[in-house]
Amino acid sequence: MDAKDPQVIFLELENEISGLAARLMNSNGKSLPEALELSHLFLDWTAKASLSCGDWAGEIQALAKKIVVGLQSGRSHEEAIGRLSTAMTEASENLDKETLGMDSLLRQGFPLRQDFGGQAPGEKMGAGNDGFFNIPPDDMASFKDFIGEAPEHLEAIERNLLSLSRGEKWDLAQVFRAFHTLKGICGFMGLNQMGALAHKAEAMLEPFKAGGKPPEDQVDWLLQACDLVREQIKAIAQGLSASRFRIVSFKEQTETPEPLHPSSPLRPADLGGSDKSDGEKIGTASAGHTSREGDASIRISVEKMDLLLEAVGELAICQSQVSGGVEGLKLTGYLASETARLGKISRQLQDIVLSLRMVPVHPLFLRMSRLARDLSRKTGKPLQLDLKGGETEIDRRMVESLTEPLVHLIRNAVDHGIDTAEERVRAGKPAEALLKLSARHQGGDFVLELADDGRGLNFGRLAHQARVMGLLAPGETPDRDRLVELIFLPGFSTAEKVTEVSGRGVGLDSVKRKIQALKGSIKVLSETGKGTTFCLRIPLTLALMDGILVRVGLNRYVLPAFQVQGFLALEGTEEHSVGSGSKWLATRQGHLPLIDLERGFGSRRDGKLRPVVVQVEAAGKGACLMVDEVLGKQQVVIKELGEGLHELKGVSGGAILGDGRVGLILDMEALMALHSQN
Amino acid sequence: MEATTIKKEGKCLTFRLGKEEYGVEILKVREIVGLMDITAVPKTSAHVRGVVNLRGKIIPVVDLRRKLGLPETAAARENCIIIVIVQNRQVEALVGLLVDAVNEVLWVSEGEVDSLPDIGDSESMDFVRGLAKVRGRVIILLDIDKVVHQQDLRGLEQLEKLTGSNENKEVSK
Repeated sequence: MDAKDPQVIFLELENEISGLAARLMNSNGKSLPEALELSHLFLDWTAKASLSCGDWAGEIQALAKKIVVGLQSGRSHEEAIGRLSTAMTEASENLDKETLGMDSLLRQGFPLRQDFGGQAPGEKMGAGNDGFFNIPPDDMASFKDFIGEAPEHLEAIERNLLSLSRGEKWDLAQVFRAFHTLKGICGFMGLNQMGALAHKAEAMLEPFKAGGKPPEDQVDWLLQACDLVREQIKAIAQGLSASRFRIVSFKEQTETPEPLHPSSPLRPADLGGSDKSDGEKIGTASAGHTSREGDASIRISVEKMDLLLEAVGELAICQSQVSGGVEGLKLTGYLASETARLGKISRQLQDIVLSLRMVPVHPLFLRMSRLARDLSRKTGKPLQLDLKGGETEIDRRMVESLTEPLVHLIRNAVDHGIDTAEERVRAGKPAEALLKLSARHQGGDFVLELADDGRGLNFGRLAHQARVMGLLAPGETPDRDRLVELIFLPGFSTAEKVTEVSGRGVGLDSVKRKIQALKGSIKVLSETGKGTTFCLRIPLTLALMDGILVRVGLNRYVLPAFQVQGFLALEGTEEHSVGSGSKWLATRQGHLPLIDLERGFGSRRDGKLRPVVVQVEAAGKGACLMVDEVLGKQQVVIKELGEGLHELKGVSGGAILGDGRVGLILDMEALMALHSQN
Repeated sequence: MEATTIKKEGKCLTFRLGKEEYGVEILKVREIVGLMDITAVPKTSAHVRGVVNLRGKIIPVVDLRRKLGLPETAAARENCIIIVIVQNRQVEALVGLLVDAVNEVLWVSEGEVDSLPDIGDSESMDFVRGLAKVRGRVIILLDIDKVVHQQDLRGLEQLEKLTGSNENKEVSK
């Protein structure tokens, strides 16, 4: 961003505009082409201005575009030019009088918008008849910027509207500013429909500047508007590579009569409150807070981040090799202390790089509170969503993968977990249900908890259901943990939809699968009548993994630590086999298949030492793995095996071990599948 | 991208396998590293020796002796891994080639290259670009993209089993 003094820019702008306005005025009555050319000049100039001074110049540019379009659309240009030049003269006069006269200029601009915007000739700029918008090559960068920054504005709007709807403090100015900025960009890019929508939102909020708050149906309208804008952004993002995207229909939204405020559909907005620092559009990677001055951040491509992580990983490995001592050379004295220092720095560096990938879960929480609000209104169950720990950070890639499971869980909680207001009152609970969503770090894991104070699981029903489905032996009386596990079984709930517990199973199997794919686990605590708590526990990052290092003959393998249940010494009597085929081992958990990497994997065991059995669990199934030695626990950076080796069964990747060699990371689930095939 | 990039003329890195001298286009060579510990990867073709750690990046290593059907020899001090850049469907990847020893970098002009005499076994020899006669020596020029074929790295066994469940794939990512 240009560090030019705003005053200087204003002065320049003033000169340019008065010059152009004078020329435009003189062209009144002359030929259209000249007016067009002048307007184009104006457009070019404002484009330059917008580069250096942010969104208010974007506003002017939007105005200039309108002028061009208005002239091109060919209806009564003379009149249009006349009106334009009057506006311009007035504007430049205003500029003379006020140093910060931009607001007045923009105010002058709005009547023009009204004239042209209503009939949407602007859509002709990029929009084809087929509902698609062709991005002009020159505008490509602005569209890219737009999809990058618009979500931040939407988030600011949603955050405040949701606080408002919860009866908490909200920042009207922020919402207003966000809509205003959106309007500016949309106008500038020719997304007229969206600009009109943002404008309408602004107008709707206008009366509350003096105080008071909009009623719920207006909040609904505003939130839906955000959804539409988000949908459009998605469409743009998808179409970016093809330079054209689908125009989302805003029809319904723009045509809905404004409740309570029919008088201000296109009323010029007062821009006095517009904060100039809003032009500071350096995006925050966290997106958790709107960018403020002093809170500077930059966008970095994920690709570069990965390269950085890789390089730092190399450094750590190299460092451990050095400090491990060169062959036959022991590190002493100065060398030893300096290597130790190097180790410390490289570990620190690794921590920093990993933290770069981390983002707060706040945006995710925001989406969930939005969802909870919608569900509450839909189901008629009053509820309060209590958020805690939104600042907790996780790997940015994980946020995406967590969204779906969390949506499922919240739906479940509202649909089935929370009782109706009447039921609650009868049970002596407050009519408004409390849903608590909290995030925290715990021992290298990210823990996400969703607790409701609803009905809780009905264990009697669960047991009954399990018996009906033949999951339990008739005489068996299972403990609660066992019953809770049942709700994650695919199709468990589908048998009898009428029971209140039945719905609980919907989607829960997919939740469990998703969490397992993130190498995490899920726990359920429930008390009948008091509520249910789902506790998700996920490692902080997907790039690092806690591994158990084992040795089989000359090969070393890494087992994901979260899948390792324990170690056993192999006693000959416990082993069973069918002929020379598969072997089983009798353990406390029942008979588990015994996987020997000697078979099929070609790793020859020593035979000298007594083998150790590692008991593992993956995808809900247990197995035993026979190894020569357990070498220890190590945190490893997960890497791909390289060209052509991506889809190997039984191996999920590689890790560089302390001595610089590659250790293969075993994919226990696939190994088990291979074992049962043989 | 394929045939057009293979120019007859250019600099070549030559290396030794058994008693023959081979050459690869120098532009395809990223670097040469000494023999290092190779981690065997199960269920791959026999000529895939395994993977190595190239400064933090894991790359597969193809044993050219095995690939060309030469008998195994004991590891020697001059054994090298030539790291080459292979092109597969416009994606560049690094692959290591295990060779007996690296010789030199040579300029091979067009006139010095002969195509392989047809000895009826053209299919298995399609990774040979030609024979260069330079200063009385014969150098077998290899087309590295064909030597290291992606499907080639995965074992046959692997291909057969690809029809299996997809769930495992998700997890392995």
